[in-house]
Amino acid sequence: MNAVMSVDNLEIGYRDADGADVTLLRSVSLSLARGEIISLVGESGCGKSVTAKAILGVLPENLDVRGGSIECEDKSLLDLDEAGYQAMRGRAFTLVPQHPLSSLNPVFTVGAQFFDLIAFQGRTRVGVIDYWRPRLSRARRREIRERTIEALREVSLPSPEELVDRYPLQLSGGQSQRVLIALALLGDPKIVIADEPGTALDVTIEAQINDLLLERVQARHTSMIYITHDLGIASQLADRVYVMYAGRVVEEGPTASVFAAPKHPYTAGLIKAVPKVTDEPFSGIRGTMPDPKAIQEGCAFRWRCPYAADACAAVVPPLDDVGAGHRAACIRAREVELA
Amino acid sequence: MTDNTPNDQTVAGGLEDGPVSVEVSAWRVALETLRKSPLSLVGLFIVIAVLVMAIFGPWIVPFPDDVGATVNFAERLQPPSAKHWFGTDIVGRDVLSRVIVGARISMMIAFFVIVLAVLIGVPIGIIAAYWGGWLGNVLMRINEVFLAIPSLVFVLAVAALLGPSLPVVIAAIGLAWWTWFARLAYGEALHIKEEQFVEAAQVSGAGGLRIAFGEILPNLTSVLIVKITLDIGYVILLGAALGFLGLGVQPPDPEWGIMVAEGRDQLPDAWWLTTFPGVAIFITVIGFNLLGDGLNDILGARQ
Repeated sequence: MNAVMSVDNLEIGYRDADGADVTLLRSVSLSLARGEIISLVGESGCGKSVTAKAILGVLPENLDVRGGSIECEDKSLLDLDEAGYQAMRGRAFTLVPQHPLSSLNPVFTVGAQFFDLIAFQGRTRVGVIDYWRPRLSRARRREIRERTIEALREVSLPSPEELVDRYPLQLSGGQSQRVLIALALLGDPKIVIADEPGTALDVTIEAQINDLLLERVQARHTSMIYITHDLGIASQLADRVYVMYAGRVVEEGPTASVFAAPKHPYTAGLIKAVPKVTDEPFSGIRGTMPDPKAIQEGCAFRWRCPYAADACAAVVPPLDDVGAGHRAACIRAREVELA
Repeated sequence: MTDNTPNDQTVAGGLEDGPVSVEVSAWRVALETLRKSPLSLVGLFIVIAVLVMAIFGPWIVPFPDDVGATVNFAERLQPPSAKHWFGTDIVGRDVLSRVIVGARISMMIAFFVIVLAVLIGVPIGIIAAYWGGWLGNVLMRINEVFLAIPSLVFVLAVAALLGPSLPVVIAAIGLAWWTWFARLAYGEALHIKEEQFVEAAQVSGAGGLRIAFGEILPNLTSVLIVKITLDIGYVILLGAALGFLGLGVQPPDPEWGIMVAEGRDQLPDAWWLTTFPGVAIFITVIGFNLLGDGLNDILGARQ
């Protein structure tokens, strides 16, 4: 498979204030083909965002990578130094952030936020003279402004000629997110990582943003990792889904297959928990996610699982094939018929 | 900035959630805030008056010659009168003229000290906050060493060592003052570096220097403006104190601190010699403080 990125057995953890070891990600493996859209789904705290930050190389200082590898463009990302990483960010992979309103620098106009990216993206060590050169050249300034307006138009923002001179404070959440998508796509990245891009917006705007992302990404044959807790969105956007629970991938497979016939009780529970406009009462998953410190041996879902057996406490269930490209980490996947 | 038509909401390519803010000129908000606090307006007027005195002093005073080492014994120690509003000193020079021109030296000290303090302190504070680790620790410990020495003692030591003159006074106060800017920048940058837009810049490929000085520094502008305004007052006070102690600017240059010191011998009879320069110091410091408070309200309210 010609993967543009593959994450292999990634392990991430930290040492808490008492010196105890806490593992956040356990042998997480992902693969992403060119032009493919995958979705990471799971509830808050399952490790979706940590995975994204690890790929982007912006993990908080107290978290450390304990093992595994991330390969992208024939490079092992975890072995790169900061300068090597810098050159790849924005070009190889980029982020559409979760909080559009706070992800733009409040003291600069929209145009100013694009300026340095257009002038310098992909370069490390720009000298002071080089830094000022495009600012002092009228022709270059106009050229960059034109590029900015064009980029804003591509994300269907209205009257981009006026928008370039606005401050982030004067934009709505939806407009900010469109600006951020334009910024993310500026370097023509191979992979777009969207970290719950619609969560901070209301539903209609979220749908527009998702449509826009999908349209832009498909137009460029860009791959996308879409992180969400919303199964509905994942089922609409993604080619394949990875369901994460307590730091592990518990089920992965083609979207259609996973949603039609979930093989892990957690996935089945999540699907049932999506409210539908019918008379049917919806059922949630009882309990909450266990404290990452408490998970030692066995399946992390066994406390909440209606099908849990004694054997579940004994071993960590491996991700086993349960269909074409479909794998689930449940030892009872073959014996239990999930309703 | 005046275009706030409802067109903002109707968008080519679909609906969009409406505009969040009605656009109001930042200057109008500022003026409105100033109008509601008469004290900061008073501060603004005092500061403008002091600046006019500092810039145009020699051309607007009634007795331009009296600014230097002129002697006019016929008119010595005259109390305030229609001719000499603030009276005359022991060699017969007009006190009003000397007080007005004295603003120039005070403002010069304040200006250069603040420039020096900002140029040293702010980059150090931002670097310490953004890179942290051992570098941040070393920088902030050095900062604390400077902070531990009382600024007047430090300045006295430097001035006594290098001999009193204007450049020495400026360098001495500047070296004592950068610590405050370093601390302010450190605290603010520590908080700003956790903002989402810093991470957004990072993931789009910005380097450390670009983030520290291109993203974080511009966000410090408003707190720096307030701090600078307030500090000008205190620097003027410290400069005058040095002049008073004879370690600052030297006579016959007109400087408020020296004038108070020289008039001390003539108290209580020739009260005008010490009172007017003293009042000038007092009003100037108060003026910068009031303006600083006002700016704090204006710039704080917009965040």
